Amino acid sequence: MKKLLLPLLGMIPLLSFAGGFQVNLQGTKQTGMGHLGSSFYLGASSTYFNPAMMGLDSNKFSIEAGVNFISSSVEYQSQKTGFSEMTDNPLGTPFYLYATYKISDKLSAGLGVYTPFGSTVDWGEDWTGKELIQDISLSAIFIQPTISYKISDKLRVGGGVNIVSGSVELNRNVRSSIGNENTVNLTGDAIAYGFNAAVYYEASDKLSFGLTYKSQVDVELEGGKADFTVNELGAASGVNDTKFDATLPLPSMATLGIAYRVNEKLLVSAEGSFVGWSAYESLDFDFEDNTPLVQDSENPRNYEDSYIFRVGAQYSINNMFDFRAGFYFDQSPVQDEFFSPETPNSDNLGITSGMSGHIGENFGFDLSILYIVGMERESYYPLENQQPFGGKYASRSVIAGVGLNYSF
Amino acid sequence: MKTRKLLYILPLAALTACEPDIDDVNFSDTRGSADFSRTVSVGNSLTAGYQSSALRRNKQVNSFPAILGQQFQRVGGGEFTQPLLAEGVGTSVTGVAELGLTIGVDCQGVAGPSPKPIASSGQASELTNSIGAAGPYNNVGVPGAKSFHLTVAGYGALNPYFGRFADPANPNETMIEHALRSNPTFFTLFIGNNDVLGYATSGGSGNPNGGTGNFDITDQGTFTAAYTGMVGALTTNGAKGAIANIPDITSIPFFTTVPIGTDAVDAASAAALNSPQAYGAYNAGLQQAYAGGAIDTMELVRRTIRFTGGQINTFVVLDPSLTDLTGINPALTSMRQAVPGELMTLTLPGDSLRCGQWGTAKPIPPQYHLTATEISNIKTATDGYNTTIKSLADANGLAFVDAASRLAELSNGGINIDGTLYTGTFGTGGAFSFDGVHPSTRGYAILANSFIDAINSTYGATIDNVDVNSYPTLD
Repeated sequence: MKKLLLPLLGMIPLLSFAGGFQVNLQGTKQTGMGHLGSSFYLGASSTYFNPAMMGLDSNKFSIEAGVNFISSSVEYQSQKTGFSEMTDNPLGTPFYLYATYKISDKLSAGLGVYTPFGSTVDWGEDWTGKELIQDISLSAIFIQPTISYKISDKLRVGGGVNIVSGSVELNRNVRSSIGNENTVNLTGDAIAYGFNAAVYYEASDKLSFGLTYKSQVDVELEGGKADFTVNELGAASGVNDTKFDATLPLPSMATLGIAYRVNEKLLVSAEGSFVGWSAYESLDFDFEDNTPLVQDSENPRNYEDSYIFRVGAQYSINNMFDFRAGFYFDQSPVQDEFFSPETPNSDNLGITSGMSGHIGENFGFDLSILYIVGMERESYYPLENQQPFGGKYASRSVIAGVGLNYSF
Repeated sequence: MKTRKLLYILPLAALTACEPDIDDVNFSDTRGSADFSRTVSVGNSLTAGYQSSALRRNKQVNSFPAILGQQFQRVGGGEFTQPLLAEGVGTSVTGVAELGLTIGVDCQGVAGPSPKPIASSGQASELTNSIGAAGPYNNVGVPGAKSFHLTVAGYGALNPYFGRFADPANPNETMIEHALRSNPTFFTLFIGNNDVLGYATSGGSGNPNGGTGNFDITDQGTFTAAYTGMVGALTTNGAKGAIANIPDITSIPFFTTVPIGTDAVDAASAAALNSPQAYGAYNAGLQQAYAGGAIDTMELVRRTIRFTGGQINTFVVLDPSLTDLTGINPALTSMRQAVPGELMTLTLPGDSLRCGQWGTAKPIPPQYHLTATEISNIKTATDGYNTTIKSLADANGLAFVDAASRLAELSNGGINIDGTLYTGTFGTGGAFSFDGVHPSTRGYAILANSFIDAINSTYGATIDNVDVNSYPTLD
């Protein structure tokens, strides 16, 4: 199943709609209530949200899968010329898949496949910043084998390994001063590893807490391909297809959540996450052959650590239907002075809503919808000894999610 | 209840979702104290939109005055008409077609980009085809015009680029009179480049101390009188305007592309060049001339030719300013090695350098070389013109465009616009056309933004710059 899914997932274009190039869509149920779920059990997707909770299912096996449909765009406007451009991002469809198995009362095992990082931004071939970026598609697929252990009725712990398959493809102009057709296509992929750990504490029937940590993963692309397409003048400047190395850090994230069951029908929860984006200091390309058109480059990113705050509620009408709603604020890690159009990310407000239906004892389906307002910002990216590139940016996204779950 | 309300709202949100709206931007351009309702642009080839050794319609449409005219229309500017050529290959005044890029093979069999005329001949007939009856035109840019030409009566008969659009009913019309027929409320004046350029591109063949020929340097008095008169005429009715200074010739690829020395010469070749069969005889002859008092020590040192193996050696050039020793010995031609700081022209034939022993066994003819004295003549004249232009701008409250500084940036690190770097490198730098003198379309757009910036700052206007990267690249 892994083998089948991986090539599929590798082709999924994702969009930057969370802080940096994070993608927070790891469970349709959780997405429906502000994408929180570290402190109360919502099925096999707890493999991602808090693996300490994996043993909480009443059944032995639990499987959950889902897909999201992302429609999104970013607008840019130069404050000097009035030039504006809207991205033409393809429909993104990130998946997730989880399976958990209760080995014993105390011990459970789980496996998750999901995409917590990714970005697809397409500014078009001819926009003014085409030498910075034309389009980029990056994704990181996490495969996470995990176990959890019940220490007591109140306290559970979990942890495991993150196997990360990262890939990136980007196109940009080179020497567009002598022809818009001069471009380079950079592609690369790599496997990297990290870990996760989690604690779940049930203080009472009503109150529970969750604490999770996912480590930073440095995806080191080695021997990526740099393929050039140039006109005669571009060729005269000297150009060879070559290879490159680059490192993309995927930041650590720590989350603390609290859930409160107001009554049998209503659950409310709040969560805060700390994302260690300051690890992303610069994106450096080291090319095998340097020519006038292909120079090693150090591109400052200087991201700052950021926070995400979430609130959400779930209301169970009866045994058949649950309704959910939530809200979150996701702080952008990008500073105004280091804002690259490759990751046009601003503070995001997310408004979410969702529902689940239960069919029979074992089967259920989930729906969610998420509307994200990427708040307007005026930001610039430094160009050496020159006026920086930038202007105003704003974004909007709508994401619909569908999930299925089965336990037995 | 909370959930239900949200569920009703969400479909509405989805409808507007994918149209982020940057709403608090205020791009209401204003004209400040200037009035662009009738704008004229007066000047030479730079104003006409000349590129790659020719005037061509598809370049004229993006002349810097045309770009300005479009931006002015946002703040009440009127129609900006240009004397456009018919569609086609374009033409130089001598009927040569526009230069385009070809990949040529040099005498050593090495392929490389080389600009060549894109057709066997230009459309010289276009220059005798009068479109003057449809005038007056707002763009009064005439390739080849020097400062004092703008007030020459009947200049149309002397320069077909003007003759083709000058008033057919008035054979004595001057360029300034043509401009004034539009009753301008605003003008740009960018003139004076040709007052030194002909001297420079011909390797200093004209008179450096005044003269009105193509290759002469216009003297300061003539320049100042002409320029003062033109500014006076153009501002008579209270018109406001922008005037630009003259770039230094070391800013343009025509003079910065060909090096003044060889690639490293090997020891055997150097020894052969220094031998008595070659420059050894010349050096010995110089010693005799020196002993006889025909030249002084300084000239003896300057003229002594010596090649050193394993390193770059400057080219041997003919320099007519040296003392003529051929009366003493016909073999003692006026030659020496170039010195750092001197310049070679873009027109110096590359094959003659690579395979014809030019610069090594054979001296390079003087029309391809600017001596330090000639460079100094050009600089002195340019600095003088620029002092005049600046003081006239100040005295008349006109916007002053420091085109010289802007173009100098191109050859000094380049100008980076939204990530795209423009430099003064010939061909591949992107800012200059294939003649090495005139800007490319994007180069002209950079120049247009300099005019806009100066106009905004002088007249309190808020006219947007143009997006340089959206203009066509070299073709």
